[in-house]
Amino acid sequence: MQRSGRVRRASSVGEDPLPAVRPPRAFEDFYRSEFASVVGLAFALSGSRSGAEDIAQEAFLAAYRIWPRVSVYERPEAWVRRVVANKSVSFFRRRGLEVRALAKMAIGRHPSLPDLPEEDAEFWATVRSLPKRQAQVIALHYLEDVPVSQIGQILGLAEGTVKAHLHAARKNLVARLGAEEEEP
Amino acid sequence: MRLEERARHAAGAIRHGVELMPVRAAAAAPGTYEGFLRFVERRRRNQRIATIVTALLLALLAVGGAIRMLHHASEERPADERITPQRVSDLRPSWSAPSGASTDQYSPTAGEDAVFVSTNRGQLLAYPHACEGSCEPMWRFENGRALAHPAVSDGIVYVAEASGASGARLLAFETDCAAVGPSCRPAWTGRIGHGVRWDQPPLVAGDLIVVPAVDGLYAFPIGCGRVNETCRPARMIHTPGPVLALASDQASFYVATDREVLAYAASCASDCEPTWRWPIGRPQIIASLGVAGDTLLFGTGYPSPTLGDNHLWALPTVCADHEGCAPLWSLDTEGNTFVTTVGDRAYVVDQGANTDRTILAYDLPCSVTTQGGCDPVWEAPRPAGWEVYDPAVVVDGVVYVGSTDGYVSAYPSDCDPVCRPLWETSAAGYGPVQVAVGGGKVYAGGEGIYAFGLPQGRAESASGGTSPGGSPLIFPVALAIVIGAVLVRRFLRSRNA
Repeated sequence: MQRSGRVRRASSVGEDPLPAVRPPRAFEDFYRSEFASVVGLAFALSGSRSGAEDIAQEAFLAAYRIWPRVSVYERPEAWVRRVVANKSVSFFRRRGLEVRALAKMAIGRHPSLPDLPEEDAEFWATVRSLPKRQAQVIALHYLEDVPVSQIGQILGLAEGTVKAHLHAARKNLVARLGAEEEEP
Repeated sequence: MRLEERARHAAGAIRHGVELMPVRAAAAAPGTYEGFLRFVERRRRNQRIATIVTALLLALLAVGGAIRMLHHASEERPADERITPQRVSDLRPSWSAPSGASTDQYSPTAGEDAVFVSTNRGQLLAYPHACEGSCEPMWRFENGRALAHPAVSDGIVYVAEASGASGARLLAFETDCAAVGPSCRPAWTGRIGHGVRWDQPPLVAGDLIVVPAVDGLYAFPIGCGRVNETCRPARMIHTPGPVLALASDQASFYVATDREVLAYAASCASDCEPTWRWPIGRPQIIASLGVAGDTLLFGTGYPSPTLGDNHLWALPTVCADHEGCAPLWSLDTEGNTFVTTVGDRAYVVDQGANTDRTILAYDLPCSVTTQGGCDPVWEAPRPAGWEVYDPAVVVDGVVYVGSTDGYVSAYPSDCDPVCRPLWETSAAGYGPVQVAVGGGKVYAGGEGIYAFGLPQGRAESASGGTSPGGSPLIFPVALAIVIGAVLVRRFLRSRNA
């Protein structure tokens, strides 16, 4: 959707998920209720335990800056998740996260998130090897447990497109992990 | 395991891990809202610092670039175009345009972007300095009347029609004449009686362009006119004879006729009397005049050295006696002498010399010897070629001398007492050679025009390193100013947020 002749990308000032239909919400409440799950999404898509918190902080900072506008969305959490989803899959950001993680460990700061069991870590690594949209759809579908229609709103995609990405992602994961496919 | 099962197990592992993130009692820890607020404040502070530092760096870049551009525009030749004594031996032929006729004489003078060449066939040709391999003129003018040596100053090329039929003119062309086509017309012209000697260029003296014509000096104001105007001289000084040579300093014009040397006040309106005059006796040739260190230097002589009685004279520029002026010193020479002055240094070329004392360098004022002469700082033997017909040209510490048969020799201005050339070439065609230097090239004008340049890609700055040119800095300086303004605006907004 265009405004003032410019197309704005979700990773910066995002598109409106839905028109404003509710009274504004206090940012602090929003932060406290959403931070942990947003960190989880960032971790799944970036693969960086320490970087996941940084990505989440930056996404909430972006929301904080334009909170009067974001706060009246029907689902401000969807806006934040779009920001996280885009920041997490950026190649350059991933390299930057790795460098910063090493620097933090060098000064004794360790990530808050614990290591994943090996099989689960392998699964998410395989997800991150998928094309970006497929990885985002998989993470939102299984981690956030949201329906296809909401995934479309978060990522700014049509419902049919989300289904196509989900189908393709599952096929790729079956092939790469050697798992049995199950009809959705 | 089925994919669905595995996926949900993996998702559950992340959710479980998030729940296990340590609960820190301390306020302002990452993950707490207080920690988030500190993160926000830290980000703002870092952005302000980064904005200030970047804006300062860009401001320094903009100021430095502006200073550099002004410096280059005002006085400095671009560093990579200088032919220094260290580089002159690397000169090699660049391009040439021989006329094909041995009676032709091409006279070059170098401007900022091009060399301007007048010919005795009545042509004025402009060749860009950037030419390599071959070259066509950017623009040309032709009127069929022999043109004398040109001069260029401040975007204007001045050339006078050589003496001959009445109605000779001084022609002034804008150096960027090519902007309106390959055939150029003068921006303005001025009447100069019967013209000038062919080897006499106009002289730029302050805000005047002074033409040494056969009946006196014609002084036109620089910027006399534009677009095909006819200009009237601001001053006209009738001289007792044809002007053979002309020099000036801030106080005076110095004129040589075939019988005397005269000084006129530079503030002279028109037809004023000379402030002093010095007779030379029998009609003789004075090839050139030079002023250095309050000394006026010139040679008297005859066309053929065999007639003898050739001298180099040094007079004070200020003489107390209006009817005579005692020389400071003098020397016997073999033939006519050509004088070039740079600061307090004079370079004298003895046309008739056949010994080791053909090119002599003097620092003026000179300590007079017991024999009434002056000892040179250095001297050089006769250069290759047969004879010299023009004064030396001194640019960037190199003294260039052109002689007949297409020879050009280059000497360092600071040389050993017995000086040897750093570079010599015989590739400048035939006939007497007149030299011009500019735009990283040495031009030799004879029966054509011959250009010599340094090999491509080798640059030198005054400090010995490489140096980019100045003008391309315009765009990064402008960009730096724009970016700096944007950053300052963001900084102010973040403070007010």
